Amino acid sequence: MALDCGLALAVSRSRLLVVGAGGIGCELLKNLVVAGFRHIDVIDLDTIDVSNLNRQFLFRKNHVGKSKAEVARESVLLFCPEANITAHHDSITNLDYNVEFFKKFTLVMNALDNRAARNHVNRMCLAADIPLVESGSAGYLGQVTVIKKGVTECYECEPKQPQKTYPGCTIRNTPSEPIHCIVWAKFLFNQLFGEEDADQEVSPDTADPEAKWGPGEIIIQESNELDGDSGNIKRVSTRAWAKSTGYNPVKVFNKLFHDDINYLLTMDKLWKTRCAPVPLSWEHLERQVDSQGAPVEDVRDIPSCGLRDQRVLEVHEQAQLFAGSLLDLQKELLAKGNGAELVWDKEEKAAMDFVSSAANLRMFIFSMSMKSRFDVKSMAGNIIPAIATTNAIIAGLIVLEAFKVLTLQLDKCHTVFLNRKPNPRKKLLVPCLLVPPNPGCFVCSSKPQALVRLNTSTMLVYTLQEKVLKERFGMVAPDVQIEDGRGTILISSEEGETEVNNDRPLSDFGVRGGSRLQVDDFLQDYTLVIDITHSDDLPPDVDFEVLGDAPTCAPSPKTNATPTKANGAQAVRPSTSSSHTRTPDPEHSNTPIDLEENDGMEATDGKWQGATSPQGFGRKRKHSDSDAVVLQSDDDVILCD
Amino acid sequence: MKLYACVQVSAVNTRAQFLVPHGVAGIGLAEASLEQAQLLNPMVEVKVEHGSVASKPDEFFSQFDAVCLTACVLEDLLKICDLCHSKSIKFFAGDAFGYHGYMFADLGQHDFVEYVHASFTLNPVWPFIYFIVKVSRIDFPWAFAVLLNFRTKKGRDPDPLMFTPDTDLLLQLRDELLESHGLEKNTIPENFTSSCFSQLSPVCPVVGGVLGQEIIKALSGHDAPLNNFFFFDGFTCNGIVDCFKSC
Ligand SMILES: [Zn+2]
Repeated sequence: MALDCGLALAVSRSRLLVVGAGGIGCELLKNLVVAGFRHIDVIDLDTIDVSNLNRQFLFRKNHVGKSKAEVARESVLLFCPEANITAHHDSITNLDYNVEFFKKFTLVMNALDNRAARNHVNRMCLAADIPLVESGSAGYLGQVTVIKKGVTECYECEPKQPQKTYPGCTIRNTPSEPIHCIVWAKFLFNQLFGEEDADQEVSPDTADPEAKWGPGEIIIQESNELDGDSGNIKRVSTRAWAKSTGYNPVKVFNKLFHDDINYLLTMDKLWKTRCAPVPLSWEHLERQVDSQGAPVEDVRDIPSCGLRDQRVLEVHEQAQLFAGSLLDLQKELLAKGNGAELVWDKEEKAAMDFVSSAANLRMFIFSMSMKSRFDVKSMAGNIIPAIATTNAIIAGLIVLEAFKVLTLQLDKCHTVFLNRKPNPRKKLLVPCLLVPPNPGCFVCSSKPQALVRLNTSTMLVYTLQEKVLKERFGMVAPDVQIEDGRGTILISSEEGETEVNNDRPLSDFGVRGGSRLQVDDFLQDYTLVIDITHSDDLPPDVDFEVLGDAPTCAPSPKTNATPTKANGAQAVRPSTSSSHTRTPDPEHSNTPIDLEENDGMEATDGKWQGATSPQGFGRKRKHSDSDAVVLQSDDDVILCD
Repeated sequence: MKLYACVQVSAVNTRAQFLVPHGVAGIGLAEASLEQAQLLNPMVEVKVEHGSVASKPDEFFSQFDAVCLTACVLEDLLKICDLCHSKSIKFFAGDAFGYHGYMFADLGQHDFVEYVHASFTLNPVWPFIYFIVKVSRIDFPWAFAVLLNFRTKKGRDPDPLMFTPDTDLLLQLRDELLESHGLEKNTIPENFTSSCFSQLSPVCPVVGGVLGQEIIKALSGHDAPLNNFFFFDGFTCNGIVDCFKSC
């Protein structure tokens, strides 16, 4: 380890905050202590899941169920006992981590997997004026950048496309969009027929931190300790179980769509703010079909091209397709001999039928509108598994950028992109100049302001709070005052003060087109002025639009306030973008400037366009309706496009 | 998992400090790292091989699907690279010097599948020695050549505790190399010595990550490999892939 004196001194004196102890976080902590950092706080809300073990190398099997932050600390101390590490098993959005807390640090490093937390840390670092190294990875792709108040773009300077990152428990427990169900169905295919992978678990996840706030937590925890397999309710693998039933379609169907769903319902904390799933049993469907006397035609006999592909099947047809394709796949597996595996291929009829029907049945259970086989196929086409070596590279780059921040060479810092293949200029790692702040940014500009279009007579106060202020504008505990001359308080972050307003539309409080709301989040030290425009003709499933945003809003879990809406808005659209290089965008002066012209990312195969970078750094706002989707199972990212 | 199971890793001369538990001294690095490396994945068979890699008979290498060398002297790199090439064993090498690191791969005749569609074959390249003697397009590899020559000469890498004598030797080796190939002085700028002392820890995961990924790609036959050098500058964070082959 050879650092020059100035750097060595800066390193030994720095106090760092590492947010996230997942895939990048583990690598990062190791790099930091090896590099000579001695004062580190690490925070992570999650506990260790079996599926983390193959990538998060600080964790071992005996750590399953324990706090990631605490185990990471212990593991690092084993090889570097002189390090002074403080672990926080907590959410970074907790009120304890206020501006004063952030001010204790020389530098903050994000190793996060979701945009909400990234937004929050961005604001806290702006408020505390502490530099932030932000990072993210997706498959072969990764990105590192430096954020400094007043000098560089902040994380939210460019509007992002709707949220495309989801924790793993979303897939297993609380799907809110069709894509979650499609990923689940692909996992299910691998669990039953393909290469078994602990990362692709499909059964309910009892380690879901969100499910663990109540008294039920203790019972679940204890039962897990008994079988030593936290997070997965069944020790026997899904495949072993299916085999034991001889791949009996009715039994498999009932386990997946009835018994597992009933189990999810016992985690009642999950369904306090979401619409609960409705279990579906084979027998119930049969009775329904019998009583309706519907003609039972075998949907599999209809040619798979054209019409059948584009029609959304009825739920009993989905069930039939599921059962039929399950048997076909089992025969295929048997024909391949002992120990053989099937590889999922969307062009294989039975495999695609299976994923389409299983995904749709799950969509139905979670009250989403189902999709045609054609749509499922396009969404399921390219799911790329997470790659551990990417995290290693990204964690190394984070420390190299941190060195420059700590030695006050901010002008030498870069946004670094890790490509899948070298670009035409032979670069696999592409450093780009940092971009100055966007003067119109609704977070870091001097007077943040946003224009929101919504229907004032149908949008409820609760929806405004949850979907607009918390989800879209990333606030944690917003207070809202109407600038109507009387200072009417619409929402108060103090408990019990304004809850009575929740179920009433905004118009009840005099909010109309042209109204202005002042929104404050005291924890984030952030004030936003929102100008409202009224609209009667927002697209279906769209609650609001922010000017300058993509025409779709962020889909969100169903709330109590909007119980009749489908669980998720359409999340994935066909790409309309053909530009694969980050050429300067004439409309937006703050498009990042590459060190060398046209050096942009992924010009080779265009898999990662500007707007689709994993951590949601929207590099080109025009492409916000691109079809790329990044899903995250914990830190383990899946890139779909 | 399966991927690794077909390779027996003989960790020779690794510098993975974090795998070495605190308080361990007096045994080889490979041995010291074994326990922690094994814990990373109990399904992988990890073995320690004693003795220097250069002293191994040719047959020793035949048992492997891939061989990866780090922190070896140039002579051994060249010898084992040639050997692996002749036996169709995938060969990899990587090193980190200060802010600089490189990765090299010789896959010989290599078929790979990209996505599910097409299969391509990489042209066989026959390269390592040309890295040292025939290449002149960028100064990057030349600096590595100097550093590898330094290692051959001193049996170690430049040491910050010997900054002045080591800098002098590096400059002397640089001049010799440039002269013997009739190259301009500015092919390797004089200040290259300032950024290549010892291993800078965050450079290692970048080079190691690329190296690890390339080994996985090569053995799984999935996705196009980086052909055939990767050079990394940890200060500018430039990572370049360039191909040098026999001409
Ligand atoms: Zn900003």
